[in-house]
Amino acid sequence: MKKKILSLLLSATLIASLTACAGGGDMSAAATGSAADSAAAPADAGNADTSADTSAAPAESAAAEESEPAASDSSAAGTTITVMASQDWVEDAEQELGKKFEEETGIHVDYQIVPADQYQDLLLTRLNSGEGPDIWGAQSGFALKTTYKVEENAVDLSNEPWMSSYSQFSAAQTGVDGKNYGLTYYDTTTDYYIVYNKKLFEAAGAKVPTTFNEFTDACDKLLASGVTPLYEPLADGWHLLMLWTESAQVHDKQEPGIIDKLNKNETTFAENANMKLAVDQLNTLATSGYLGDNYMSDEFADAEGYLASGEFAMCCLKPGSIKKIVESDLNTAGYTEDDFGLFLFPICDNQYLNIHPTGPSRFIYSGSKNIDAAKQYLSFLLEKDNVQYLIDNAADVENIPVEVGQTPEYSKTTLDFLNSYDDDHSGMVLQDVVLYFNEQWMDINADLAAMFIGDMTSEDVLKGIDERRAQLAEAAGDENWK
Amino acid sequence: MQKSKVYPWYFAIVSVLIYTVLSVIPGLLGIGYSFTDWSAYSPYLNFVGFKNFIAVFSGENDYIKYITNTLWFTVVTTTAKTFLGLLFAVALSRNIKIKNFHRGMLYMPSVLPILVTGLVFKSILNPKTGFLNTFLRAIGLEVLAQKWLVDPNLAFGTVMAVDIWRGTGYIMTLLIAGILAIPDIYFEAAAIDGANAWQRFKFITLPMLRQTLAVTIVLNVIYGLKIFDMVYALTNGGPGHRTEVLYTAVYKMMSKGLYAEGTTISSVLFIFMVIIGFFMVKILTKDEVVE
Repeated sequence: MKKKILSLLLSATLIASLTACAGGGDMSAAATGSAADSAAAPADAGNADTSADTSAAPAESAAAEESEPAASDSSAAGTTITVMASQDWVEDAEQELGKKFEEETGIHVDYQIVPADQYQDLLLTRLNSGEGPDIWGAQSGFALKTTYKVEENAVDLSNEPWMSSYSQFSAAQTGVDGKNYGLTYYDTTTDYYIVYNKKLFEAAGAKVPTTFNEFTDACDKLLASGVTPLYEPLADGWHLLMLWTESAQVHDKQEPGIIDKLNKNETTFAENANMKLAVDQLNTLATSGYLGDNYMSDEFADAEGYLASGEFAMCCLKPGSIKKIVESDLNTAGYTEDDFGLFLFPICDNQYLNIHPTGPSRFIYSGSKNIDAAKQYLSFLLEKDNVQYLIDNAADVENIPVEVGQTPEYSKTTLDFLNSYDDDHSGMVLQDVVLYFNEQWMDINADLAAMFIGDMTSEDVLKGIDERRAQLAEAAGDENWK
Repeated sequence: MQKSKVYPWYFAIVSVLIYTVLSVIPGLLGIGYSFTDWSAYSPYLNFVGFKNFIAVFSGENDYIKYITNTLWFTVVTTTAKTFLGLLFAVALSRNIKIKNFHRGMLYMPSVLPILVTGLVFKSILNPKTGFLNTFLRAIGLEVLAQKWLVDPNLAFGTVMAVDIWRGTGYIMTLLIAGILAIPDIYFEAAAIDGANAWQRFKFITLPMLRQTLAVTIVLNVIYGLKIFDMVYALTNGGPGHRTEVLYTAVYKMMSKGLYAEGTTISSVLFIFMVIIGFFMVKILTKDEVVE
């Protein structure tokens, strides 16, 4: 009997050791400041510029100084640096530049591209366990300080030679407390808008909508004409929420001060009628059949192809995607760039242009053994010829937020669209101004998907956002949540 | 039958010590962290009592659903793998043509890494472009083409089906080894006495396989309760949260830096494993001869 008890106890301890997570975080080094401090950067950035200005900026880039070519470091030759990024963050053109970089320096670049729905969890697990890649990608903005702990996990790049050519608008988003830790290597000079097929709209008798009711009318007409209105790739787990947040500046315009109240914990998402209306309108898209039958397994990588095929009439994309749509093999109808246009998604009747200086950015891991090689790689990417190579060869990149004398490739459609909104009709997107929101991006997307299948209500979704914000704020020791 | 002990107890000291330092202590520390507010956001650690456990069982979030999903996954996959594994094992321990080929084919899925299996099936089961639906449509069975991994009513069943496909061959192999260890003499004697195939299975194979079955069931239950990678690769908990299990929730908590919450869910799983493990070992070894 004693033997049995002993064996049961041993079995229990074995299972305990297998299941209980001891974790490996270095708690002593996990110091972070009040999350409220980080609110300053995006707010400043919001006052600093508008996207209309940003679109004009490339034309003024002649005065910009070129960054110095990367100095060849013979001691680094033969090393390999790893670049870890989410799907769609590393263009094929950049990987070609990586080969050129290896030819010039002998440093091999190993790109580790992770499916979008798994990326953030995987990256944070690696960073929290002290096993980060040499260069890691993350969305710039608030979460850098709280979630990614850049002060701990990234190298200070404030004194890099390319800082003088790096957009200060973007630097404000990759920096914390006056230091810059990252490089936004992504076209943040424009944001995501609804790209639509003019011919399909015309054939269906649909008009460009300016209110949500007009949008649903257009969708109904498109459906009646046999076209699926909106391509919404839920499988990636990140895209859907943009339909709301990229138009959510309307909340601040309709209720001035709401953002400040949210950040001071004086109000919640759940108690705001406009927020609920926005989430309900998202639900309408799914329940009315505007997203088609397959949206749960549709992937972002296929968006341009489906628009090119004429199967779908709209998708929330960057303007540069129009070129990619036209160049797609599936463009059998012979659409030209003039056949596609842009409009703002009129959630809550929004008609304010979204400004979004944050985007996928590169950070050098502080624990990397190849910091110099990684810095060399970032400098290499910002050489004028290489920036131009990216713009010329990545179909959806019209420009990136640096000024090294490159020639941007903004289409007339893009410029006309951006210039049609003045400062009074533009605003920062929700995730750039609301604390503890971007950190739960994938969770909110999952909740919205749960709402689409009837497992949650819009109230549940908003309540979930509030609960996770409180959880994150509490963990960060935010005074406003005590 | 009581045999005298052959080895003195202190022969185990070194291994027990290593095991304790590397496994038991970290495991117990993990449970200890469940009672704190340990997170990546603060360098300080405070005792919070049962606050994290109350959050798990309060019903205000989805943890209860994740626990139910995990238990359901364990029950279904264990039952199916055991039943199918036994079926194949009995069939393939007879003298049939190219039986080693059949055994190899059934065992092969177990050799593949779970993540690879998951990613391959994710592609095969894509409702629009996947091989399965394309095949069904091609042979005129479009009515059977389903949204395997994204239909809320099918997704969890599909995940379990893929896991059963992957794990059955392994269980079959263990059971074949068990069946082949049964002396032929029992079967021959039973045959002379006029026992039919079912009677031979029921009164010889099954009782003689009890120990092997006990091992396979325990392995399946522990695997089922710890399931993570298959769900992660196939659905990552979706659509919505329909296929979320305890370890996908733990992973998401830990990656967010909410370590205490993550270890709490792990500890809850531990409690389940101890309770289930205790009764299983007791039931499955009740007739065991103590040496």
